[in-house]
Amino acid sequence: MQTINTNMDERSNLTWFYPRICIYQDKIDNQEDYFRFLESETESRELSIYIHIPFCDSFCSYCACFKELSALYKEDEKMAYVKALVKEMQMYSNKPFFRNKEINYIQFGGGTPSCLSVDMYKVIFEGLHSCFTLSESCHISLEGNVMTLKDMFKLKGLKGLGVDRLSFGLQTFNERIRKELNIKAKVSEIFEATENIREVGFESLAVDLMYNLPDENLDILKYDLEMIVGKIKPDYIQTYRFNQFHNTVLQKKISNGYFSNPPSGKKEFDMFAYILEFLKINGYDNHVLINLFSNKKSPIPTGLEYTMGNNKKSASMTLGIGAGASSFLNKRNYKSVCSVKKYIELISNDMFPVEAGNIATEEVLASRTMVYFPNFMQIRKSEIPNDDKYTTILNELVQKKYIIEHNDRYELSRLGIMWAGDISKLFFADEEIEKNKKSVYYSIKNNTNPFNQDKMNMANKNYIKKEK
Amino acid sequence: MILDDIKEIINETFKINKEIIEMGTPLYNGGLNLNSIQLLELTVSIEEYYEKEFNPDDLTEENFSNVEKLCQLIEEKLL
Repeated sequence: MQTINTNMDERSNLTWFYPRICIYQDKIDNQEDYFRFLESETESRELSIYIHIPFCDSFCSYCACFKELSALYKEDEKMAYVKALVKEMQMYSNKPFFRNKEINYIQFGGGTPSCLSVDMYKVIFEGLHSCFTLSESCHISLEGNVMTLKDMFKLKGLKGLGVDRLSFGLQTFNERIRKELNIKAKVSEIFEATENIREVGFESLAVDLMYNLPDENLDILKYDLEMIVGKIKPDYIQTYRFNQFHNTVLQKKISNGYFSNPPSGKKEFDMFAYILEFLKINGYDNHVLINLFSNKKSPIPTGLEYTMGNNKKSASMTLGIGAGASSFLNKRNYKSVCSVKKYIELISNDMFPVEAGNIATEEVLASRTMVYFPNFMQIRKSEIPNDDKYTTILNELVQKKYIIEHNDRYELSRLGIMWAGDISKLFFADEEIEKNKKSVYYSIKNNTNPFNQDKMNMANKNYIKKEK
Repeated sequence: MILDDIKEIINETFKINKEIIEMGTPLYNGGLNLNSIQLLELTVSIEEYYEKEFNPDDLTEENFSNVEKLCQLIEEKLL
């Protein structure tokens, strides 16, 4: 078994997307062949939908998600995008594959989904209801920023349409770090949005806290946690480790010594340990996912749980709608073009707006459950794929005290929780390890951000050449 | 000399002083202590410098274990 590399500088991040889609390796030669599976029904009925709204009023310097400046699009152009979303939904829902499906979760991500108007959401929701059957327990979650989520009219409109869960990126209260990260929202707007969200009566509010930030120390983190727990009191706190890819503008600033206390593996480790202890003793003791904490005994689920397969070995299905959205359907793993203009153009020509995609092999499919299990922090023995190599790895992890074996399941120990990202990597299929390495190589070669393999946040890159 | 080329590339890519780079210097697990991403960065920098590409099969841990092995790889495969 490969051992866990406990070198702090090489700590692995958690795995949120598996298997990987690489635009350089996953070109789809024949779209008709690739999507032929849509012409047949399948037994599996459950489906979650992810809808990408790529518009942002400004770009936070750490964010690699696909987005385009909202100011570049007039309202009628944004409405054209909205109508393209509905048409894409129709293109899918007309296919036999979707005939028997029930939607159990809808997630709006971005960009800044909350920057669209209520009228635009009315169009989207009409499309959703006419194209799909939503289950009675279907939850609808929408991400946003506090500048737009403080708007009472918008909040009431979204709630009226059925959104029951809102989330926004808080990241940190520290004004200097917020400025360095180009986070435009004022701290006062965090409180204003929170108050209004509670007044309108949304069932669930989640906030994102980022840590291991440039120039952040434990005092700053402690203050952030105290303010979130004491003043914001969300139903969920979702924590993300700061992560910058090679040759982004922000990474270059870090490498050039601009920050006196740069991000590091040790700092990240210590901060995550602090977060675990703090939240446990301050009311957020429901550790739902590795990076998700709740003060509720039975909080409504998050979209992530569905996209990661719900910790089960039967592959979950997610339909991604919109530019930059990813789908996982019937072993097909693909993503749409990262361009609003191109997306609208392809949809208007009745084409699925796919940029790249692959078909997961049986081995990759089986490994997916195991790769994601550290995010859930446990796995039922009945859900472990039938292959000795997984139990071999699990037994070694038990011996090394990263996981604890119970009668019916394996559970990450405290040590395992601290090294969850590295544990996940142990279960990668060999072909995925190779593919990931090549994917990063191609991203560096083409100077693209490995997240979406586009130019998001990338600095210029010049290479020296041998004198001839 | 290939060694001089490697020193120049590593200095330019990682701002590492040329004087500490010798034939026996490990690239990872000691020596220059490059991580996995940096090794890929180095690969691309070398390819761009010589305007040629490695065969993916040549990108092994052994071939990148130290500066001497890397020089041998470049001599055999790129020049």
